[in-house]
Amino acid sequence: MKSQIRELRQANGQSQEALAAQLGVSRQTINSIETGRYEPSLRLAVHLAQHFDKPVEEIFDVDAE
Amino acid sequence: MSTQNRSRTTASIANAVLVGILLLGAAVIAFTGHWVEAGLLGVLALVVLAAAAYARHLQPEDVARVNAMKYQDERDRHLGQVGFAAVGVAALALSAVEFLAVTLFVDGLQWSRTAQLIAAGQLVLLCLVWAVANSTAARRQ
Repeated sequence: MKSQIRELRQANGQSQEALAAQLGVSRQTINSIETGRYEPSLRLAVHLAQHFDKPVEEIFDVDAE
Repeated sequence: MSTQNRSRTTASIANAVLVGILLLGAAVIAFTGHWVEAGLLGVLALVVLAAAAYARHLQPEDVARVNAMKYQDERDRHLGQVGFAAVGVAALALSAVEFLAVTLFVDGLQWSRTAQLIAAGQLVLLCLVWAVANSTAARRQ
């Protein structure tokens, strides 16, 4: 699943470590979501959307592989 | 807004239980005079302990955390489930092979019938655990 996480994080000037620490997950989890290797749970997806102040469907493209 | 880690404690308990079982097994086997086999279990316990100690490092890699059952977040738990699922499939297949081998060679090699019963029991128990796990997972999700 494609996402805008990397673009949004970089626009915020945040490192993967910093974002991971704020969301209470590992840096590897952020990296895996950014590269499309891991699909986050609904809870984490909503937390990411809240963090970037965007709708979930704007951040994640569920139809893209 | 933390998504972290309801299972950090349970993971530690699982580790402690595993090490405890291995050490208890080593002690029982040593008591019967099988020192090499006891040593093997003791080394396994040390490996599990070392993996847990490594996972306590500041920033261990995800594989090290999963190996030590020190799940930090939902992805670690998912990886752990995938790993244990593979172990389960392998255990079922190996148990079936073990039961077959013991049954085929129980007379030729003069193995005890108890060995055959243990192999059969292990296979039946694994199948039961599989069925209960599937049922529980279906009810919860």
